[in-house]
Amino acid sequence: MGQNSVTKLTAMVHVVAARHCLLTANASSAKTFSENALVAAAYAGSSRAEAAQKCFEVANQKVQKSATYFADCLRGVAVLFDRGSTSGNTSGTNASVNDATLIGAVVALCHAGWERGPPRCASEGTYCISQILTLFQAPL
Amino acid sequence: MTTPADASLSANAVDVATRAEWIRGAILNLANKGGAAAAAAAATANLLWDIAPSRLRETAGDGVGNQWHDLLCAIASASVSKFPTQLHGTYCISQILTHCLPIVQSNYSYTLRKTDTFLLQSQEVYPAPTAGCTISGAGYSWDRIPSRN
Repeated sequence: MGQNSVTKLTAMVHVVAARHCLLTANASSAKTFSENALVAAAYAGSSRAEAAQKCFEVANQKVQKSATYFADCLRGVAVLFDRGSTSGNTSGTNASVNDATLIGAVVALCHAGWERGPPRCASEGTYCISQILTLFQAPL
Repeated sequence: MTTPADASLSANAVDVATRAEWIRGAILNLANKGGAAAAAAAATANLLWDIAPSRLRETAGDGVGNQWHDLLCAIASASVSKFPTQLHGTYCISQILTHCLPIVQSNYSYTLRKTDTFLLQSQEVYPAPTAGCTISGAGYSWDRIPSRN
């Protein structure tokens, strides 16, 4: 079961990954908008900048929460790969690597985690990788 | 202080995000208890997942839709972390959801199509238009292909 058909697990992982993409994109846009509003505050007043900053904070909170969900999905997928490598498999190969839909789910997580990371920053790449490594190392 | 149990029975409105955290917490706690409690948690998560498409259609276009989507992710992620084997043993129709920002979904799908070769294998292949079909060559459109039912 689960070799070449969509399973509930892979569908759930895709949904969480897509949602993570959306929330990080929102946070990225909110950051840019907030910065621009702050620059314009000198002549346009501070109310708009304050509202934009609030939006940015809310967007960031959602990203943080989504990162937790993201970590849960990583743990679940990791369990399947662990099971595949130890479930009486005498050939020494991991059955999970031949599971197309499961690999697809991992690919979706990688896209969401690496390519659509947290809001843009100068060292975004390093930041993303460190965040995800932290999630991986969290206790199950 | 109001406990979740008190508040959930209260007539006062509690936002969806808070309820999502309660449900997520309940699923995680019950899953850790094992046995019948874990089975109940799995059944609840499955139920919420199964009703998700219709609920999302009902709430599409308003703020509740977004909150419902967050709730779904909260529950789905908890389920994936606690019941990976069971969930991967159950087939389901793809429920990749649309977003309020179509361009984001579009970019996500486009990037996934480019790099996930496994996705290509699972695409349903439609039959070529038949002689009785009114679709002409240059104007061929996926959306206009008649249902096979």
